[in-house]
Amino acid sequence: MDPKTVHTLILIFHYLFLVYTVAVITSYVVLSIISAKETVEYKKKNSFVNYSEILSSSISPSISIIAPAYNESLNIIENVRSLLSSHYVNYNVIIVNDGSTDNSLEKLIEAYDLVKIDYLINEQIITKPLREGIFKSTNPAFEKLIVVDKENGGKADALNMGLNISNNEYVACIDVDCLLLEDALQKMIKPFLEATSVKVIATGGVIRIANSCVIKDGKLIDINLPNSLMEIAQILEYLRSFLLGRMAWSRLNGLLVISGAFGLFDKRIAIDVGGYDTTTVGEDMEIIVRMRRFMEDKKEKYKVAYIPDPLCWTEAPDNYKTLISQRNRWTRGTIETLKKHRKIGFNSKYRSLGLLSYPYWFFFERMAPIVELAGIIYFAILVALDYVRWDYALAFFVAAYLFTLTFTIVAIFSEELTYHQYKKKGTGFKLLVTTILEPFILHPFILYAAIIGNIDYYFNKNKKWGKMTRKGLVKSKNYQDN
Amino acid sequence: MIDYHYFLNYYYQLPVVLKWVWITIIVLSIVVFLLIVFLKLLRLKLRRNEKITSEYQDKYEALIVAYLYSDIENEEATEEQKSIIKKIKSSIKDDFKRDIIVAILMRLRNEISGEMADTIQDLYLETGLVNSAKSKLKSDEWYVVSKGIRELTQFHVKEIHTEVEKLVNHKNREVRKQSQLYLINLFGFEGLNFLENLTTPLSEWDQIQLLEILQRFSNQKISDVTKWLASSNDTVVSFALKLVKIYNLYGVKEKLLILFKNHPNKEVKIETIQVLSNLQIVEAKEVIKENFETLSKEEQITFFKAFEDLFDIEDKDFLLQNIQHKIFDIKFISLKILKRLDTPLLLKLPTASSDLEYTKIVKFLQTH
Amino acid sequence: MSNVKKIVLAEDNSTLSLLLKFKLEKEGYKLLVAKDGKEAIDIIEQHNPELILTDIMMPFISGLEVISHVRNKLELQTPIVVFSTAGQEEMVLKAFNLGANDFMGKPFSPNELVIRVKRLLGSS
Repeated sequence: MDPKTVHTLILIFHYLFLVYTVAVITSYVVLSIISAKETVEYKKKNSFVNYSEILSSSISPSISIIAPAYNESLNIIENVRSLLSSHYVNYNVIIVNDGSTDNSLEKLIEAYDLVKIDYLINEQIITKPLREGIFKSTNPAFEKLIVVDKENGGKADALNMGLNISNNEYVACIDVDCLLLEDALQKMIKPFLEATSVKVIATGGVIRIANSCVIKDGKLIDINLPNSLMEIAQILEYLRSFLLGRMAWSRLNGLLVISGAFGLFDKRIAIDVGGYDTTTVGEDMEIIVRMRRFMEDKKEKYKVAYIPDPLCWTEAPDNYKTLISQRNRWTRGTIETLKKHRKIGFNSKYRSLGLLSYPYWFFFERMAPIVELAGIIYFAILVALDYVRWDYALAFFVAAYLFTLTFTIVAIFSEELTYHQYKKKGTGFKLLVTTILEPFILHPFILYAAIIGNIDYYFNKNKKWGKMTRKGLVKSKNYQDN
Repeated sequence: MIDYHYFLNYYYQLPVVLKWVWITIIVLSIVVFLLIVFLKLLRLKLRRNEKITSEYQDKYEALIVAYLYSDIENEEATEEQKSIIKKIKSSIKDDFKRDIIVAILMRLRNEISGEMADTIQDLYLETGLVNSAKSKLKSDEWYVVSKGIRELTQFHVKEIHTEVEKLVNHKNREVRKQSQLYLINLFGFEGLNFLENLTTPLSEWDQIQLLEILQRFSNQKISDVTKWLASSNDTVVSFALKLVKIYNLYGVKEKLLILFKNHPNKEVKIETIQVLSNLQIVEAKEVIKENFETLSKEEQITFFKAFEDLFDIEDKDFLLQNIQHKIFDIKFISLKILKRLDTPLLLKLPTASSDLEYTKIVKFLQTH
Repeated sequence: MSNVKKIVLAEDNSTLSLLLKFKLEKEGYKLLVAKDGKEAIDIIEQHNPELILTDIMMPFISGLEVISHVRNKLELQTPIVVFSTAGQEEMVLKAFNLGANDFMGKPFSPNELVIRVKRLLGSS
């Protein structure tokens, strides 16, 4: 290549970068504005809602909570107790013990007076077979509880078993170690019951980080900010993602993912699309995309709703190692889902799903780490060749950094104006300090995890998600997904 | 000064893109700075508000309780009461304080009955709170209108009946809902008359709320639902069906059968089937059986589930026809019913079949 | 002072608490007010009251848990009256199974409550 072509190529490269950056920033600005509008609207509307009536009504629809458990014996008794203490009337809890190798089942049988029952499963979705069978309690106090013991097949397979067993209209798929607030179910069911002209196929909930919070008898007693910066940084990340990102996408009816830790589904549709995909690590995103696609293909008006209230609290990784393996998995989940549904992307037949949601996820979620890595490598080459105009570079870095700060602070603002969960004195300062440090203490690790995720996806296909370790209440999350 | 010029000169020689970057940096620095200041102020304000709210709350709570309490002693309004009313009257000019006072009264009104409830009511009227609530109905903001109606509902202010009735088809859903709740809360079954003119949809959520409120009335005399069953608004039909089910309105049996035969909406049809079974209308079973093949999959499943206990030995042939139905639930239910009606027959059924689900069910039922 | 009977009132509506406190103290009882179930349990353990009035739905620890704590953990036979709202019939049944003595559905008349309290404590 002659020097001129090289020069032109480099120039094109530069402009592509610039365009990408401007596009990312614009999309964030737009999403923030939409989310602000939607949040105000939601808060206004919600101030009128009286949840007590739906709670007690005998005609409120039936819900099954499906919670897969794998080697959870340490906390399984308390976790189940928390799930059983919902204030909703018409619901049951299906715990799917997914081939645990510990004594989870024995502990459950003992704590809840379980006995094996005869139950013919309508195997609408093929799953791994039962192991010990299906259990119910002899104690009427736990009549809402069903425990299923099956052979190990992974989280998606366990959820599918739950879908087969449930006799109810709606299913709440959640992680067994999630703490659900008592009014979570009635809040989540509301969008389904309120819709008149569209069919709501699923409702997504918000995940809040429970690290350092005081939990007693399955109830959230006191909300605290953790001490470690890395955990606070994750709180900020969640606030940004849930209060800015998802809120806006729900307004655009473009949500592509419902957190696997807590979502409510129309069971009929979840089964009609074939349940969860057992071949991906991103089953929570994949099923939503598939359900959307199904509705688009049927040409029915539908919606994926979203409830921003802090209803579900869970432990986030408290060390970098678990964090990296969690994010690695999320990355692979996203890649797999987008690849599997490539047909949707840029396809006008799928309207906003194909022209807006999919491209956004592809470019700004899936490609972001790769673009960032390419940028870093390119920059490194320039440094090595001593081509860098340091004053220019500095200006770009400072601008990018300030954008990050702005969005995070806007997210904190949004939290303060809506739910104001971190009330204690001094927490505001801690949040701000972490905001300033987050790009250095959390982002590099997330980028690293995403890159490794890409490498694992392309070059290390057999990678199994590692066995999990846990210590007391603070757990590392390998099996459960957020 | 030299530094200043140095920066300006530096800026002027930059390429356009970099100039923009620097402008962005300056703008964003200001934005970030302002945001941080506002955030600090916001947190302070929130904390202060919480404190003030609880202070006011205590203050007005004490006032209100004093008012209610002094009333028990005397028939006539005492000096103390008059002064309390005066204090409250002057406080409600401030919206913040008004909200707190109304919230206290509302919560009390919900939890207390008897003469003390009447006294709360008097206080609400006496202090002029009622007038400011009424004036909210004229607002252009849906939020304000809804708030006004809700408040007037809670304090049982019946005289705005005609104004509220006009709002049941309002373009904003919350206004609609609040006005419907007003009518039902205050006028019970009579309030349901708005259904006749309802052109907007009544969501399941709304329906459940209305039904729950209706159940609180001791006088459970329900008006004629036939005209609602014939409504062109499908959600009104669905609501009427729920009334039929809850209040066991056998009188509309014929109407239900007509709905089942003619109604175009699948959801309505499914609900009708359920209501027919709830009322244990056996002749409906015959009608549905005759039309069974023409029904949709969901309707067929609903029929089997709803009528499970109403099948008898006369239906044996019909059930046998469906033991290899393509839908699992229908197979399972028909076989289960057959087991209940005629166990020897079930035990004799062949287990071998190309339909694996059938085999599985029969084996299960024969052994369990 | 020893003949003043103590009543614990657990209720999250502070105005109602205040009102009932006034009313019952007028009748010569000593009222100890808790704003949630947790506080109620603490007060009960500390003061060993003659009567417990508790709302069913309260933050953190519900009325049901208060009853269960009193009957099963503290093994006290103190009379318990629960307050419930329309639609909580199932919970009222549970409350009776756990050992509640009486219930009052909201909205209720404070005068009626006084009558029931007197009856339960025996008018001395």
